[in-house]
Amino acid sequence: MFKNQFTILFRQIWRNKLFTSLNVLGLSIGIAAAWIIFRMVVFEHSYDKHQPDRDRIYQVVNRSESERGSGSFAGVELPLYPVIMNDIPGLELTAPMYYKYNESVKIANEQGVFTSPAKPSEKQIATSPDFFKMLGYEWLAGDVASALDDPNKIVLTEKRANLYFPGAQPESLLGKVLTFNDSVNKQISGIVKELPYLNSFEAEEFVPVSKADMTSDEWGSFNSNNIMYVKLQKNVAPDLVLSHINKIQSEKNKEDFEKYKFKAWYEFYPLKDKHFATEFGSNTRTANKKVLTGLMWVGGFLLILGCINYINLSTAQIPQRAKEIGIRKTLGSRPMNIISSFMRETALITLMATVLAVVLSIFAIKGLKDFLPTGIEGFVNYQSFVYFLLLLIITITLISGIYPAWLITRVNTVNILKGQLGKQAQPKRFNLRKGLIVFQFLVAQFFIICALIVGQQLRFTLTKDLGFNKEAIVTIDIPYEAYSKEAFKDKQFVLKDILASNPDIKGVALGDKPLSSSMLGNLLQIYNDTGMVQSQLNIKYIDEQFLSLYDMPLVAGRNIKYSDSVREYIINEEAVAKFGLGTPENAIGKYVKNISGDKTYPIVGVVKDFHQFGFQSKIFPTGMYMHKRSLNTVNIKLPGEHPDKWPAIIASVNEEWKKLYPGFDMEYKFYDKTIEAIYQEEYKMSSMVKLATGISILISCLGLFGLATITAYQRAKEIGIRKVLGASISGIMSMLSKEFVILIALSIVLASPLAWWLMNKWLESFVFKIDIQWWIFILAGFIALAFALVTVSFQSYKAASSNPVDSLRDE
Amino acid sequence: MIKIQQLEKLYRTEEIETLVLNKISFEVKEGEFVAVMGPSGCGKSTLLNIIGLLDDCDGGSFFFNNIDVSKYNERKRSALRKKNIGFVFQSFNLIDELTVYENVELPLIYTKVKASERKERVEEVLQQMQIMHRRNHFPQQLSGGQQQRVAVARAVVNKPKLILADEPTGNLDSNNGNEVMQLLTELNQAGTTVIMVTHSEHDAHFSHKIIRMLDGQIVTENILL
Repeated sequence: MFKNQFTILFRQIWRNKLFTSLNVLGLSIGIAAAWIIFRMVVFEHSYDKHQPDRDRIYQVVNRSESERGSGSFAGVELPLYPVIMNDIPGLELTAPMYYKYNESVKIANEQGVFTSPAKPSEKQIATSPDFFKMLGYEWLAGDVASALDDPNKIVLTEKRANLYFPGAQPESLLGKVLTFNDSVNKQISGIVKELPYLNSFEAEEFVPVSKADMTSDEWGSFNSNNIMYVKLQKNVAPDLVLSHINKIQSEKNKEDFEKYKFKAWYEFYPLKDKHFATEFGSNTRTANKKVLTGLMWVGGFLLILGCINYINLSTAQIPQRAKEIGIRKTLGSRPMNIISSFMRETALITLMATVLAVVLSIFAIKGLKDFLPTGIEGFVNYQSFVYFLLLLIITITLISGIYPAWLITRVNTVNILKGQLGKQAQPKRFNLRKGLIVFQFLVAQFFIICALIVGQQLRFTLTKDLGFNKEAIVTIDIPYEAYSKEAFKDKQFVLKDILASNPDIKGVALGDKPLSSSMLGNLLQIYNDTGMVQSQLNIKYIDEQFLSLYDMPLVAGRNIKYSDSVREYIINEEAVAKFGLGTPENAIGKYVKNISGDKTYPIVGVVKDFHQFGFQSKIFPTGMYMHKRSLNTVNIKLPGEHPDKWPAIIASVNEEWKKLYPGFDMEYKFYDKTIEAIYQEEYKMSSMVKLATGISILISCLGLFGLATITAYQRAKEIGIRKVLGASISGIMSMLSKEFVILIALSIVLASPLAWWLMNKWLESFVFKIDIQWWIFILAGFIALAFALVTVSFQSYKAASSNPVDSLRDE
Repeated sequence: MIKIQQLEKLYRTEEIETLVLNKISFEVKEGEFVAVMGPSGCGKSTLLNIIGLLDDCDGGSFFFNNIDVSKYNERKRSALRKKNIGFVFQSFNLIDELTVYENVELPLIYTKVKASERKERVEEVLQQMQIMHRRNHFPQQLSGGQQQRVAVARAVVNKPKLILADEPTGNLDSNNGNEVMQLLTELNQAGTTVIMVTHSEHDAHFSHKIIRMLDGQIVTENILL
């Protein structure tokens, strides 16, 4: 019995090879998308999930409020730790994490010769034993009590230790010495095992907090490299502990807060939500919950599209299968038998699709590496994976199978055996199948519109006049470790002079890039015609070549002149407005004064407004002046018309660099690429939308192809009659396509307002943005129509060009 | 009107070739009523399809109004067909989704007759076939006899010179069958040439000439007076 059923099942599937493959393919694409997205969701939600006592662990973050708005920041003030480590009731553990930078790390061998087996870690933190207690590290060598009790000690993770001393036993490493920056010796005092679960703590080298950091009195200074976690005692309300901390903090900062009309305070951010706190994401990977939710919607939609395909193709096939069903019914089969046999078929197809989807997803994960979180490839959670796939198969089988199965049982036996089936007295009825096609194309249409608009905004962003010329410019940031040292003082000016004498180089300037993600604010005062105005200016340090190098036009006044110390200011148009100076001309000759100093500086020029933070943000009032010590970026203008010469020029710059900055690698960047990188999120979004568009079009077209095949089959006789009566091939094709065109037109009408609304919302995050044009919707409609027509035309051409004799034969 | 010489038609499957029409020659004059008879599979329908310009032949020649059309391509055949030939089928072959009126109108649309004239001609022919009162019904709502009357109406609405009928009474009872034969006879008397494939001796005797076929060849030609 069982065997018989399966034989029939396989025969059934095999006989309808085309539809089986369309179904399997359509479903598998949807399942693969859902599967990958599900893995991402599980992966991201697994962060810190297994951390013991995680409900009592919090990151100390700060929030601030000033004239310029409010801000959130992960950094803490250095003096905070010594103050709270002992004195605050309710705190069980206090774990500072101060990220430390090293230029080099070396190990001396037995002969005393130094080697550097690895680059210095970017994840070295200064911390306390509380850190290890809080996270529950397993000690492979050494112990938590004594490991950090001396400033010269260092603890390594097992992986890190293996990098320095491959294959060595942890115990044998105790006492070995690492030499940092050629001068500081640290003795290994402990080896810990990496936390065996996904977590937000990526540090791999641990040193004690230095005396300087412990005795710092720099209240009011927050640095995102200095972060802190606390663990509260059981049953202690976080707010109570916070109020103690904030009381101390506000007292210490009272004077500055008042002076700068600024306010900052601490908050506890729960570890369980930490992985999704993108605003506190410095030094650790975070995930964006909004993006994940968006992806879940996309996955769901693609899955539904696959199910719709199945429903469409199966219901459309019922007329062809009706004879079999009629005979079965005549022979005594009950509706339940027929339903269950159909459900088995659906389950088998879903199973095949799932297998294919898992295979597809392996390739997809490799191909989509840039878009997926690192580590996801190796991440497995068998239990949830198995549950999910089982649930998926059952759900899909039910969603896709029930309706067609029910429809099958409604087939009238007598009619079938008389050969009358699916003949509708009323023509052109709007049925579920058509509704589903409309829905599929609605989704596809929606994605097409989104892809067009996102693409347009991205192009706008990259090509719009930024207020300066970013083409053919290479920038080199001089490393902090170099310019902060006396030995390298003013070397950038030497480099500039040498490069300026190179005839191939069009220009060299020192100064902050006009558009970058960093910001330096200064509160300045000015006396205008009505009195004193105070405003925060964004400061850019520049030299006298800077404006011409970036083609930044002055609208009034003149360029700054070379000087050793600050002498004069250039401001932008926005600053003119902010200071209430009226016209740019009127601004010339006015004096600005730094709120914390006594000196005043004349405004000598007004530069045309330019973008400083990309198109998401407005243009800030900006001041530019020469401050020799702060000119740490070399901007080089290459010959734009000779890109072939660029490699040679860059090589020659590197030669000079090596002479001036021995031991430092020259890291140069093409400025237009740097700006592109600022829009990385938008790029990613654009690629994802394009991918979703492609997949939804593909699935929809698969379904449409199937339907067109069936329509052509069902209408074969009609086509034959029409041809006998004189219809042309093109006439028949347009007749067959017309129905689909109407459905797709309907989906365009429905999708357009939806997409318009959502894209408007997305564009709101840009201060400078495109207007959504009406023709986008027309274009998107044409794209969908074109895909649909190509899909349909294949089948309709076949039907239209067939010999009517074949379809009209009576016997 | 129709002159066929040494006409051949081959059907090929993967394994065998069958000669469905084997060097057939005959002539039909304008205004004649010819019946083609023979057992199933003897090639009558194939012959009718070739005469109807639905199918092409593999050998011999076929003159329609003194023009050799055996080498015509699909487009030319279609143009000639829709102006000159009307078809009546055993299973009526009406389009279920169209009303009686729309079914009859269809050939006029394909020959690009103006809408006002279409209305006039469809109504005229529906009157003639006594089916006017059913003009807004769908084929499924009609009896077999009525359906075949609609099919005949559709075949003649374009005023074709030739009507090809493939077992037009095959699906009808004798009353309805006689009615249809009466219609065809009237049309013939009005000047339309009719070629009819039939199994029925009774129906065949409405014609002027009976061509009997066997295994792809013409066995006899009887002239009835």
